[in-house]
Amino acid sequence: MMFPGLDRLQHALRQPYAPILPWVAFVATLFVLSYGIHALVLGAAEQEQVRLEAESVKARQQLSRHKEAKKAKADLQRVWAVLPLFRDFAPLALGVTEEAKRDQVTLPALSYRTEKTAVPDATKAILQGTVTGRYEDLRRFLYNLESAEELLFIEDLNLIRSGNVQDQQLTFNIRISTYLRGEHLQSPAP
Amino acid sequence: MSMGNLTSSLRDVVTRLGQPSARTGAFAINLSSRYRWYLAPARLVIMLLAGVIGVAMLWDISRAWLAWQDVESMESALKQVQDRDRELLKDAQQEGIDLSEAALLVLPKEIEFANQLIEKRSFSWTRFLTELERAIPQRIAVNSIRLDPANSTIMLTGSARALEDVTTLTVTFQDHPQFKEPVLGQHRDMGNGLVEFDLSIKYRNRNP
Repeated sequence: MMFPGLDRLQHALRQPYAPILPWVAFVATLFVLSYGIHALVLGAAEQEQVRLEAESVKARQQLSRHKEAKKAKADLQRVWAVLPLFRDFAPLALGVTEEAKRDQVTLPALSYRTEKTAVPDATKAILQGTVTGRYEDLRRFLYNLESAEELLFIEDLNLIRSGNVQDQQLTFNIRISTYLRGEHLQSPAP
Repeated sequence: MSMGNLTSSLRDVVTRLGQPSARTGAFAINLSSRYRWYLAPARLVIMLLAGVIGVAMLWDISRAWLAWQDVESMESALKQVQDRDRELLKDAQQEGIDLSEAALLVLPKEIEFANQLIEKRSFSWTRFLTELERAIPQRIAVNSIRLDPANSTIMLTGSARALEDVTTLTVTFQDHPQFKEPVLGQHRDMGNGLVEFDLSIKYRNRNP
């Protein structure tokens, strides 16, 4: 026999249940088709929905992150703008000494050092020294430092009454700090 | 009724259902008939099954159609969000703001740093000295002041005419709105009519 399957089919068609075989075949085809639609068409659509949902959440988060970052960066630019540039450190130290002179406060020596900060392009600069003068003059000096255009911080102030009470001279150990920005820290665009 | 009778009746009913022609040929016996009683109900069941599968297919097709429509609208919404993001990045670049991934990685540190600067800036020595001047009575002389801005604690040493004045000073700080928790560290009678003392107090930094 050329086709053993055909022989088996002919045999099946001779059986008493032969009339329902086309129906069985029809149902089987329907079942396969239904499974195909469920798995391939609907399944693919649902997978695509899940993928797009995840991508959409990610895109929204990214947009929100960029919005917040842009706002934060704009605010930061205003902060960076008040920090002196690294190259302005020497003139700044000189400015502090001149301010002391203007306020009639003696600032005989000032030591300088720099420290790294958590921000790569910002450096902490510390100026340390001893200032002597009358209380009113010292207060004015402190006020002028605090209200200077450059961001200056008086980190430590140790007041020591001088030995001579008559001339009302007071001595402070003072530590002034500022933060210097490198060229890469952006300031607001003009 | 016995089980045999019941089976026979049931078979008769099924036979009538399955082959209507049998109702007319009550005494006809066809010995070559391939008819079997279970074929009709089996066919009925298969047809019902086909119907159920058909309905399920239609249900799946309708769901798939709705899902693809949803996918299309989601794609459109996603594209809009991505376009807005690209536009935002472009605007930022034009404003000289770096929003690259590397810059965003450093951003939390920069914000923390800026917040520290702002917090430091909020403390004013001038204001602190003014409030200290107001709080200290005239019978007290301050010899040294040291302030730790990190925890706003002041270490104060001074001289008083009597120990009562030191107590008055402590009570004044206790009731003062800007100073709190005065702790007298020690006092020494200097023998020259003055009492030296060490005192620590906390300062409530108040922004103007």
